Amino acid sequence: MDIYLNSTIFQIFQVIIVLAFSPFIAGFISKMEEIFEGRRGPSVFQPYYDLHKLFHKEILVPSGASFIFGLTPFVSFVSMVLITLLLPVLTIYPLPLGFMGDMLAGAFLFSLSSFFINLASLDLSTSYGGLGSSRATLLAILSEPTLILVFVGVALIAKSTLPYVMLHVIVSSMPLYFSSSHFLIIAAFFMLFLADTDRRPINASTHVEMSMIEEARILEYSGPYLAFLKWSGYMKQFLLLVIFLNVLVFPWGLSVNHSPISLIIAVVSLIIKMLIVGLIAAVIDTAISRLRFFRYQEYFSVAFVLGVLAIMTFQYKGF
Amino acid sequence: MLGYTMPIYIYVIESLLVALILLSSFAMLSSRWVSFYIHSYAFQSFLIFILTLVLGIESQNINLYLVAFLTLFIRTIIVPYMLLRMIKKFNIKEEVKLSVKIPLSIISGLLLTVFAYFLIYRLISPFSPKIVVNASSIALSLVFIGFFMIISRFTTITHILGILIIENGIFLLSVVVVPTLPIIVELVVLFDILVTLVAMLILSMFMKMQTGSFSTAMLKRLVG
Repeated sequence: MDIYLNSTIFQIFQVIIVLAFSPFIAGFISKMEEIFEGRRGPSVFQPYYDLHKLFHKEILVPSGASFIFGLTPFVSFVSMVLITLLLPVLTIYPLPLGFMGDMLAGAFLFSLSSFFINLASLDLSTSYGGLGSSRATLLAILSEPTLILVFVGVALIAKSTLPYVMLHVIVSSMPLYFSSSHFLIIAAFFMLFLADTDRRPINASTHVEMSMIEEARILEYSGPYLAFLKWSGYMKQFLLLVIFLNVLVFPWGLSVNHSPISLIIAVVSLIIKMLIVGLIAAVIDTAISRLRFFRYQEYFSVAFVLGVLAIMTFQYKGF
Repeated sequence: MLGYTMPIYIYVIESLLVALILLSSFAMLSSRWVSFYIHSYAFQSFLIFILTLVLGIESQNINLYLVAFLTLFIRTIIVPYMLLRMIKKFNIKEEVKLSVKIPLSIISGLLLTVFAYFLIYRLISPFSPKIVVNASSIALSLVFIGFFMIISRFTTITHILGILIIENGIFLLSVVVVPTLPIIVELVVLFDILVTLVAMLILSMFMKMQTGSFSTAMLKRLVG
């Protein structure tokens, strides 16, 4: 009984951690980018101020908007919360709702959120909405094969697509951790992470109409709706980082029992790991120039090659 | 490595190194700039040097040490130095002309790699450990990718580099499958590289003086 209660508390805590710290990571990365560009930059807590400001505005719905316009922010937000329940954010042992779905279910929820945002941006039939959704759909199409190959690679290594199983397999076998297929999967997933969170080789993540993708899709939103969409964007970045760090790269430092001390250790180590990866992402963002729109295939074909080679070398790894 | 049994960390290091060697040849396929080609060739040769050294240390083979340091000296230092001096002397800043676009050439390289895996699997998999299958398929795919680079790029320097990649692949195959090869064979191969490189550099210099470019795209017909 006690264990069940504790697991439930941990499950709730997991969602609270993701909700609370995801704007902080986004603020940290943008602050670092500004520092690398030689400016002082906004405060690390700027995303919290933004969300606070947006939640205190009134709800404006454009005339001619259908029910999808009002539904989209909540679908996006709730799907992010559901993904949180599936992932090993804090604990190395599975929590009660961790078996609700595997990594494919997480991918489906990510694309459900993206699909609804696309629908909402097409809903008002403005030019920027159509532009943004077509670009985002092209990116999704190009990145889908690599995503599937990453899942196949994980399934080959762990004999399962549950993230908890993958984590245990990597932790328990050092040769498997240092095998080339594991590193190739990490590289392919990192390229997908950069593409999915609007980082530099793909998109500048600016408000310039020429190049915007994510911003163009939510251009019509304002007030609390926009706050929900922004928050789910921060959570998406946080969750991708969780998959990258706790499932693939460095699954140490997670809590191993039900004590509050190990919970605190897990939270602190997770945030430190994320800050390190955020620093790397900020360096990449400032060091690399943006690709032209018609050269995106080169980037994604490299990621595809990494995925295929991971599978090929896993078949003949010899240990 | 047929006939040797090695500790497991050697297997891990070897699989990592061969994967990186293959990736460096894909880095060449994905670029448009000549100097990038040369640098990744040097990186690839350096990885082959490390692999040879590790195998030599593990199998206590003096010949492999010698071959490793000759590889370091010739493939990693002399050949890239000569090529870089050449492009500095003629001040080449042009992009490589491609007959196959970059995404398609990356995917073709991937198909060639899978084909190499298939061939090696059919050829040697019944009587060799899996790691040898992995490493020698990557060696064979280096040969294929070198051929593909010669076909799909219209610059003499990339032709030279294609031949050098083919030769790297053959060397990797020999190191991985028969590390006890007599050293005279390796010496002959290295000497072969140097002679080929010098001859091809002289030829391409003549071509540059005659036509004003390193590109072979305009050579449509033979002129007596």
